[in-house]
Amino acid sequence: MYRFPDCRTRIARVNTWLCGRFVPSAVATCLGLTLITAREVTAQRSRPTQYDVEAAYLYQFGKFVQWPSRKPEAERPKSFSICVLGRDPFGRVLDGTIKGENMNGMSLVAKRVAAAQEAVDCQVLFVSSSQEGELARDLDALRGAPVLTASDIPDFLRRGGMIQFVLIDNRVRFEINVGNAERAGLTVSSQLLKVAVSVQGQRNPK
Amino acid sequence: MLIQRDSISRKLTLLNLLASAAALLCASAGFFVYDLNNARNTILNNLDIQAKIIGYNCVTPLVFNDPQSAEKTLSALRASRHIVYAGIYTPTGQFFTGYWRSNTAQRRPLPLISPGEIRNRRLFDRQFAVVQKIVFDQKMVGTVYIRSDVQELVARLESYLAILAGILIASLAAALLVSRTARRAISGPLTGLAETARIVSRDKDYAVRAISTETRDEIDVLVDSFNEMLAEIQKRDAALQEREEQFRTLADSVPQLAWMAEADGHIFWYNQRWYQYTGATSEEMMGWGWESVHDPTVLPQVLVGWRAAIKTGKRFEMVFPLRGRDGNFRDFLTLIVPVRDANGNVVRWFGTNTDITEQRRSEEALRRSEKLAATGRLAASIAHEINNPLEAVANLLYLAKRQPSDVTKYLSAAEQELDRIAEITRHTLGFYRETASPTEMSVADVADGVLALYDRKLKFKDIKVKKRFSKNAEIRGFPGEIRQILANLVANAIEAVNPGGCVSVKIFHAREWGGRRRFGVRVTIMDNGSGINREQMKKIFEPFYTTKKDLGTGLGLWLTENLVRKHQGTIRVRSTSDSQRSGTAFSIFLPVEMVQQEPASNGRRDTEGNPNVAGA
Repeated sequence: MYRFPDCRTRIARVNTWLCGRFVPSAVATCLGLTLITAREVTAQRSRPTQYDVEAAYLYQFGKFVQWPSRKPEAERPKSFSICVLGRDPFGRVLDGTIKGENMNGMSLVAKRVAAAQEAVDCQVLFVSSSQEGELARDLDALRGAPVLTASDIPDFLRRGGMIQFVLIDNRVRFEINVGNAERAGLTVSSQLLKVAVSVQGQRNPK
Repeated sequence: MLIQRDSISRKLTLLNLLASAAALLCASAGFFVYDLNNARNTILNNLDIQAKIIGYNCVTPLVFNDPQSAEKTLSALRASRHIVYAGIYTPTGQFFTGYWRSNTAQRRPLPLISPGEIRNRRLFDRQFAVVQKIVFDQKMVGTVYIRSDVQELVARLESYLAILAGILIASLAAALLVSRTARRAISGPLTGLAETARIVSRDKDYAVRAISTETRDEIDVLVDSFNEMLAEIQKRDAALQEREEQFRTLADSVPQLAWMAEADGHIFWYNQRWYQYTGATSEEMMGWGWESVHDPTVLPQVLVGWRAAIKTGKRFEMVFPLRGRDGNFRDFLTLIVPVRDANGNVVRWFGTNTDITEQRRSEEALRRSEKLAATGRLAASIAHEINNPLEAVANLLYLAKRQPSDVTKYLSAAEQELDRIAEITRHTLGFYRETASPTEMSVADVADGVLALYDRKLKFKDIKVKKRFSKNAEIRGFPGEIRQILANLVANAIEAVNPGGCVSVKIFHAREWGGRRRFGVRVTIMDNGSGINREQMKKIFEPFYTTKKDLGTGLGLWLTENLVRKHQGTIRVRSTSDSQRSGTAFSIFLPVEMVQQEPASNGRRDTEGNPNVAGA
């Protein structure tokens, strides 16, 4: 389930040419916007690396994918886990990215797992390129589990993965295999599909 | 000016049109502003919605840094013709991707503005701008900036103006039509009324009527009132004409000549008698043309009197001759009275001329007959007076024949008697000696002769006579007439007193009481007889009035007064019939000299019916 973006209108509605009643509020809004912009500019001064971007994407994917709801309530996970299988390429970046964020009210947790079996309770799993050799076995272990898998490994989609990061024009993009995702019980938002470089696999007719 | 010169109907039409146009313009302006404002709000709303949709669709491109995808989304804006530019900006304000309507213009991203900088506050801003934050999952992921032109609004404005023009023309045409109808309803009757009023004032024709509208409105009331007024005027005209007719008939039926003059004496109307008598036409007579029928020798006096009357506004009375159509003059008693208005100003003169020629003739005849009657009475009186001495003479002659010795004595006695007869005869002759011109005479002598004539009667009734004469009281006049005056009054006094009564005769120089204060002689004849009561006093100078039944003709005092007047004298009478001190006093004033021909020729006659007169 994804959230409809809150496009709060921040324009000053001009409903009168007779008086400048809204001038004060307009000025205040303007001032506030300027402050926000200034802070964000200082925070992202340095150019992000490939793994900075990928870490951010892992977190963002969670917002555009719907996990199957579990019953009863008690079995619902208390936290939203982003796991890394194999050698962790992010270092502290992933933890930095999710720090202070939440996912639909759930707290975010970054985990490093050594084996695929440990990742069954994760919501998002990044398969490190170090696992390329054991990929078939790993994916096999996760079969049926609602885990969104993403990786740099070439041919990841064809081999059963869901999202594959690719570098195009020195920018991080991704491809999606909807069929693989839906087989795991995940629904991918069309919004996400829209920005994917390519979408593979067939959706299961429901 | 158009609105002043034109008729009421035009004014009504114009007012109608102006009112309609003003109302329409006001309403249109209101609707126009309201509608434009509405339209503008709608456009801004639509831009808002579009910004929202774009923002929503650009969330993932922003999150996953995919400008191409965002551009694809933006390209959908091509469907909306008025959007000039749309831009997506990252949260840091950097340009992410954009859309430009024109392909030819420079595809340069516009610098992002904050909502406070948006200028589309006025109706006629050249562009609308909308800036919206794109918020996803409570985080701002970017900004949408859309600019739109105002062509939609301009087009709307143009079509609105076109519609307004159409409505205005149609409404004015309708208003014109309505006011045409209204003109028939309002100005139609008014115009008719005005036309009627014009005809009435131009032709003085009060028989025309304004046409009633039967609508029971104010105009109808106006028309009805106007018609009633006309009817009233007609009625009054008719009444006036009838009065006029009556007046003319009356004026023509009286025997007098009658006429009317303006306040300044300009005569503008004569009755038919005037024209019948003078034989003149109205053209000749109008104004001061009447002078031509006057006796040129009398005219100056008439003019003096008439002009004085015009000046003072007092009534005017005079006897003067007027020439008839046969060329002969006849005497007319003329009476002119002023007609005054409410303020007392003379507005008109009303005059009558009464022919008194016949009256004068009959008066003359009466005078003559009274003279004859007097002669008869005198003859009897003379016969009476003469009879005694004649009998005495006859006796004396008889005695002289019988007694010749005493013949001388008898004859001288007879001679005395004959002298007496001669005396009586001489006095008697005086009555009839008419002189053509006034002569000098002593009033006392005349009085003596009269008393001598009535000597026997006085003695018979044992009347005491008191005489107080100033001997030289002389006047110029006609002695026979003076004698007749005195004889009448003495005879009346003798008849009035009881036996043993008293008659007083006073003659002396005097000045007239009041009036012209002329010098002359006053004769007062008083008796202590029965007196004259008030009713009788009013009539004593009228002809044929008598208290003596068969004995008198009733002409004595009338003739006396006539004669006094002829001598330009005055006669007054005072009497009382109180039982204790009754009596009558006649007082005659005779001027020393008669003035030849007076304009107001009538002598004055003073009759005072006051019984309480001293010396009566």
